[in-house]
Amino acid sequence: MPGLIFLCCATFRSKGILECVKIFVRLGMIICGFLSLITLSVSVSQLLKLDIRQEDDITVAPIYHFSIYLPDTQDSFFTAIKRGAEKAAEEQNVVVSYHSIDPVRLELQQASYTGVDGVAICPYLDDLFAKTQIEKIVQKQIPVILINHLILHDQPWPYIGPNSFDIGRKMGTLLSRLGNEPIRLAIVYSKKAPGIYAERELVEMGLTSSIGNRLSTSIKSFYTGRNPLDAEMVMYRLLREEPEINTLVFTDANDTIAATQALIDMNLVGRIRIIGFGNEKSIIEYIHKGVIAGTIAINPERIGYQAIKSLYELKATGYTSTSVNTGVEILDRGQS
Amino acid sequence: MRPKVTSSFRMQMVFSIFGIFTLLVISTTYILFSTIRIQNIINSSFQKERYLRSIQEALTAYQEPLLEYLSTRSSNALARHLIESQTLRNRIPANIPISRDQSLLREREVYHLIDAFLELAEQAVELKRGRDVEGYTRLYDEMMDLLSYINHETESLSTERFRNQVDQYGVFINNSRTVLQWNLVFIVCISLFSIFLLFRSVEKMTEPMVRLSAMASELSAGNFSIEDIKTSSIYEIDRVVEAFNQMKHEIRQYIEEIRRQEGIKQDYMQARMRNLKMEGLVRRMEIYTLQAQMNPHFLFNTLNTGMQLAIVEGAERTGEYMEYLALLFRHNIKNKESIVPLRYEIEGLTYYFYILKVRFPKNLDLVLDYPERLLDTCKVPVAILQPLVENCVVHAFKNKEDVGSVIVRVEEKEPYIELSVSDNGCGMDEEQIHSLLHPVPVEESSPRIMGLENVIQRLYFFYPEDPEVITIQSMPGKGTTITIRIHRGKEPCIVS
Repeated sequence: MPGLIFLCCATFRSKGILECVKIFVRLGMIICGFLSLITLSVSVSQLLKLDIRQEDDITVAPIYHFSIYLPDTQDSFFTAIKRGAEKAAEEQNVVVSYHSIDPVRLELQQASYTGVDGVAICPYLDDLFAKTQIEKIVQKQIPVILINHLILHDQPWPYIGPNSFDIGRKMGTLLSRLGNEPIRLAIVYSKKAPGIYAERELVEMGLTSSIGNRLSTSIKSFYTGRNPLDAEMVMYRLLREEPEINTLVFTDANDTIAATQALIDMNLVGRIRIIGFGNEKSIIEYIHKGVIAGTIAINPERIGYQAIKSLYELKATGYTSTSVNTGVEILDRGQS
Repeated sequence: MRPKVTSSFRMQMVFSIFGIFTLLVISTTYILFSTIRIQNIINSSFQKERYLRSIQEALTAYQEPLLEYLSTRSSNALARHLIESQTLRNRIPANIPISRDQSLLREREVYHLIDAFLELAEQAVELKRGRDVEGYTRLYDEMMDLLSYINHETESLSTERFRNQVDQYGVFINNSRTVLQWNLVFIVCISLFSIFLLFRSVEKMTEPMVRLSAMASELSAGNFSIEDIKTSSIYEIDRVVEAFNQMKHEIRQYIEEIRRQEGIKQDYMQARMRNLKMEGLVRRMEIYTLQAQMNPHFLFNTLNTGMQLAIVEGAERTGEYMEYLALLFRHNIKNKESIVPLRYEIEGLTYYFYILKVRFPKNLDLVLDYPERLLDTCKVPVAILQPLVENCVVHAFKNKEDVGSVIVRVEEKEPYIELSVSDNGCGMDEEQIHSLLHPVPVEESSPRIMGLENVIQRLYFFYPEDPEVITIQSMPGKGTTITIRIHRGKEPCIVS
């Protein structure tokens, strides 16, 4: 605009008011026309982008829709399973929806009607309920696999997860490394780790096979609920009722952390050895400090990942491995 | 040439007004369109939820004829069941694509659940027809569970979507406000553009008229050299402009013709004036000549008598002197031409030199230097050298004691012939030189004219276009050189 005024003034001096007005009109017309086009373009582009809903990206449409039924909890274990499943879904160009396995929510009961291409189920507490629903789903010709926990059945439903006997054996191996004194052992099972809880016999068999005659008493069992602070209560009860226990084995990461904190509070570090479960950061720190002797870690992300890959194979080819062992790791001061 | 309808003044006005009107209507239409689109987006944002909710309500309503049929086996209930069932099936999307969006995935599942519910209802009706009481009762229980789950899922999905849309709605409101602001700027710009366009159209139509009035003012002031007015695209105005331009051209040509004739007339008058002046000069020269030719026969006879007497008495030198004197007089009076060959001029000068040598045998040295080949090929005005030599003898050596020298030299300097008369006399100052070379007009000069002035005036008359036909180089005490330079290719200007 200053340039336009300057130009008009210069023209006014040289050619007079008529030429000045003429140039002003022409430049004004050009500038206003140009601005009109720009503003119209911006307005149209903004208008076309205007939408309340997020449009679905259908550039590469997913091939299959799979569902995973998990316990209704926000545990890091199941979060890792979902993370692994998402990773595999992206690789295989499929989508995954998540549902609760809780019978009250009716989601597993209606799974056969949802039109999905495959279902992965993590059985929880009630094997019979799970088995019934799985049979119903299978009747609809929908591929099913089990994750984290195996249900005994005459049908070969594929299983993805750790071997419970192997978990027990690894626990025993870790205990063997810690010394030769007699072991008075208690295992704390948890509803937060339904797979291990459901196959506790296999776990104890593996444990017994590994440590053999070093067990001076029979293995005691304790149970925690879904409350992450239950372990603290169990800890106090255990010390009160079973004072001879010198080794505690946990099957859930939250229980391990809560119980270890209780042990520190009671100033019993060194008197009771703790074998933890999971590879959370705080557990690793406890191992470094010598509060926890070692921990057993399984890889839930791999379970989720492998579950989707197996479902894809089953849907696409009709075949997949009957069992995929996702492995168990021992972490102690030497390895962590 | 037949004018185009579109280039008429009236149509131009119609086009301009209609164009601007159209522009504004289109702009306003766009604003209306954008506002309607914003409203449609808001309206469509809840369309899916409303649709799902309507199916859910239809599903609930569908229970009544189904239950009635299962309870009563009424044909009316069966008919209603079939109609409702078919209506519901038609409302379910046929092919629901798999989406990466979790809410769309859930919606897909809900539609599958509704479809499964209708399938179960069909099975229950079949079982009722087959009187399988246990079967349809079990199926009805399962359907109720499924319906409960569908309702739960639908509610959950609607709530989840609404929660998501609350955030997106805020973003949408901001974006739509931005669109409206851009629209406002657009309408302002397009309005300004329309105003400028209107100005431009008016200017386009009136500019030739303004120029016409300006040109008329210029013409009335006598300025016919102004440029033509440019034609516009308007037919009627172009006709006026062309007529005006043509009128201007014709007036200018007429005036130029008058000026040219006036110029010729002036040239003619000048030439006539010059001729008159030359005629006057010629008359004066004739008078001068007549003065110089006073009683020539008496002088010749007297000189012949004196010469014969000198021969009789044995004074041969005196006789020779008298003879040369007679030759000089005869030479001077016998020629009546204005322009003579150079030989004739040199011949007269030779006689004159002899007389001068006799008169001034000791104190005057005379030199005449000329190339022989030029004498017959070059012509010069008559009597131009002798007066110059005479002027030297009379004026240059007045107060001089030693020997005076006069050198007359003829040289060829193509395309000129150069005649010079040099002396080593007392010389002249600048003022004298200037007064000699710029003589007063003939009519103002005195009747008695000096020889040098006569020569200068005659040379100027014969060669009016060459102001350097005669030049004088002189300084007081350093002598004088008078140079006559005549172009060999140019004829002298002689009055016939």
